[in-house]
Amino acid sequence: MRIKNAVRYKAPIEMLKPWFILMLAVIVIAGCAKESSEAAPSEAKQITVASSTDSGINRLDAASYEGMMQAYPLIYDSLVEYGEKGEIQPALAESWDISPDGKEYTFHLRKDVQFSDGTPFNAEAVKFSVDRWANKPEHDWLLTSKNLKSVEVIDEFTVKLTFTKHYYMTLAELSYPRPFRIMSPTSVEPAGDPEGKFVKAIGTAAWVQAEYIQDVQTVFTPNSTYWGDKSGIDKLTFKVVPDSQSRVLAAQNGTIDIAGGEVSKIPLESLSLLKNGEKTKLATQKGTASYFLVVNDANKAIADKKVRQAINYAVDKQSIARDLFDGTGSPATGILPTTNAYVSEDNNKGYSYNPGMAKQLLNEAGWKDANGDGTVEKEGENLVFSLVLQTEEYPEWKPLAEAVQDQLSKVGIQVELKVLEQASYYDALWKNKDYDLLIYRTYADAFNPLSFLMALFYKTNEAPAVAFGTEQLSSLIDRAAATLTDEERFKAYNDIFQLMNEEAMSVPLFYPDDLFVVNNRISDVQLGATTFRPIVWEKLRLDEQR
Amino acid sequence: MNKALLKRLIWTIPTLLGVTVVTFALVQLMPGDPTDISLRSKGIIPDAVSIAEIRRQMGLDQPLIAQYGAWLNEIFHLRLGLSFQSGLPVTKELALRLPATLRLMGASFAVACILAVPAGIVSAWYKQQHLDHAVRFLSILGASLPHFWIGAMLIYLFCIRTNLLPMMGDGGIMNYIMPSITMAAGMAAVYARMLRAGMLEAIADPHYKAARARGIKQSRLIVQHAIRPALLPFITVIGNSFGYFWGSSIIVEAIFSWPGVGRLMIDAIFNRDYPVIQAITLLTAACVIVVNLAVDLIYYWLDPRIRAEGGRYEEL
Repeated sequence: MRIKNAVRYKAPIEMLKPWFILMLAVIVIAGCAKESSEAAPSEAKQITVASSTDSGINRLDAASYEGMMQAYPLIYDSLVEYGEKGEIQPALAESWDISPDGKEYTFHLRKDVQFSDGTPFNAEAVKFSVDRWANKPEHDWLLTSKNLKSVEVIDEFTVKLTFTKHYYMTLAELSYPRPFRIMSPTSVEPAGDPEGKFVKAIGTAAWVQAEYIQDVQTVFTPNSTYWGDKSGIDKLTFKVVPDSQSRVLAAQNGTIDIAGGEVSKIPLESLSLLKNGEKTKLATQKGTASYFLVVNDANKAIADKKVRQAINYAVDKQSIARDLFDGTGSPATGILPTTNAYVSEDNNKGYSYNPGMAKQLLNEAGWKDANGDGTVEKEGENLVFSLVLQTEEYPEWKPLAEAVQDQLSKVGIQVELKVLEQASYYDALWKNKDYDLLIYRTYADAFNPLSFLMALFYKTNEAPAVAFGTEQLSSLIDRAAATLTDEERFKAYNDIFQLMNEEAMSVPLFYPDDLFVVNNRISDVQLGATTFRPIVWEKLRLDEQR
Repeated sequence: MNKALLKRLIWTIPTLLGVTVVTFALVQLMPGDPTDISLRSKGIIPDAVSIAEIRRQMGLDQPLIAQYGAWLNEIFHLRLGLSFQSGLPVTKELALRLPATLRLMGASFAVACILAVPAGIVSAWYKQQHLDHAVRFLSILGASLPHFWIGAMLIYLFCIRTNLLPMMGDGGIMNYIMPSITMAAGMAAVYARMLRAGMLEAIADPHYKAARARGIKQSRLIVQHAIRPALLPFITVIGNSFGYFWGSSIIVEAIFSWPGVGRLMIDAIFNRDYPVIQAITLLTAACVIVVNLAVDLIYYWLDPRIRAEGGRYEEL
């Protein structure tokens, strides 16, 4: 019956001919459209950078937190910049004097600077920016703002900040991406009014905003009035690419030239693909952050120092760095890598890998595997810890946690992994302490060591420490914060790190490198000293041969 | 317009109210504190004072019932509150991104139809023959492959192996090809199978045999007597697929860096941006209700049997 149909009626495939022709036409038209768009290659030397979030340039008030952190230093300079190992370097301030009591900072400003719209840069402009952030409640977490007493214009190029208290982090805080950078008085309306409404991002730094499509891209062009070296490229585009896998593909394809760092993390498993890719190479440097285990001493077993030390001995940091992270970082010793200020080889020894020692310490603490099931027990109870982590921001924590689980099982400690959604994870860390072990990272750059220690290891009379705290540690941290000279500070931090190490207050795991994927057509990549200035953009050069 | 239909229209209001209650409750039940997250996500190390201050600004210090009342009040004034994250009105945030998502959904729907209609017809006509098997195999494939896989494969083929298509963003017509195919694949499969089943049913019907016996022209026979009766259930599926496309847009937009609502939603969830999450959920629910209503209306208009019996709505 069916066959007969087919003979009498023509096949419907024939009928669909116009349909196929239409589809073909669409493809051809689309194909032509592509060719015409490619016919005009741009002559400008431009570089495209992937960012995982929008730059927020239309809200990039220097004294706000609205934009992408890395966008602020493109537009705005600070009085001083944060260099390698926390060395403070001149920027808009050529030099500065600090009074012996540490309360008065006098800045001598550069005289050859103007804002990108031609507004002169001088002490009055600095005062405008300072007035905009000083003593505002939203900046109270930064003592530089909270403790500011007055700002005085001494002469056209000298400005003095007076504080109620000495605080050694003042210069470091002034180097933060925000809110202390210097913005033009013409950025607000009415111009020069510290309470004025923000209108446009105008600064003295190397770049100016050229084009902005929210959630799509922000284009920067060199600031023609910039006081520093002239930029090697004509256009710097930040393209929003929220998906990390898409960033890898876009780097392979050449749609983006640079991805990585905190601007747009790249998944570790793709690194081998990008390392010596057809179009890509890697640029790396040692980072300032570390991954570590927070230990919760509300757990009775963990409250015992010997158990904490045993965990430290049981973790094979070398193998984690070498086998798991494929050399994209270094094995951890102490809580912070030596790329940070006041951290040295000597005060950062950490624990070696020594499972024998770990077992012995557990034994001494009363944990023995009497029934031979592979897990140590005490008073009939097995030693079982929960290990909490999240994978949204740090997908690599999953394999890291599994490695720790495996290594601890070898000394008889059973670990149960609990992968939480990002917000629940932060609740566990900051609020309800619902974990025995938890993977976290240290802060980076200028936040280390003081702000990081204050945030996690500082115990007050009212509140326990977030991670781990003792009265002794709190008083040592207070002492470090109050120091006047670098020498005293080194001594104070030596004591802090020694105490933290001796008491095994955390389990350092890994120091990740700063990683960037870079297109081969870029010849010079100078990585920056901080995560908010990850690359010295104006020093990028394109290889003319390609 | 009949009474039952009117009743149905009126029912949408309590339904939407119910949606607001559920949405509000779910958002409140989520673990994670929006004040804490919004500060930390901006790189601020929060202290108790700044948390209390921002909590007051966000209105989170109010009792829950007051927060819910405030939100309802906003909705009645056709506003949706201010985003915790950006501080901008949620309506503005949505207006900025909705067009891109709707365009992508429209393109995907078109692609799904372009793929499904010929596939369904061929498949029905050559029932149990090679072509039919091929189409059915492809549709099972299309329905089972996840978006992120299809998306990544398309990018690999058209952007890495060959440089034929632009990889990301909303731009010219070329930008639509890969995301809309990714989004359409699953639905095209469903459409094709629906059409096939509907056509087979129609072909088995006596009226089709009669039409054929009269020697009607082939194109007319297929279009009028096989496809047309198959279209009615098809319309229901199209209505349902609105929700599917809306949901897929979240993943597809992320893969292709498409500046739409899906990404706004993901960011809002991660940042516990309550007003944005609530607004998008409510909007989704409202759209689904409206689309379903539209489907029923079209049914009413297309199918004389329903009109004659006044039937379909009596059951509702």
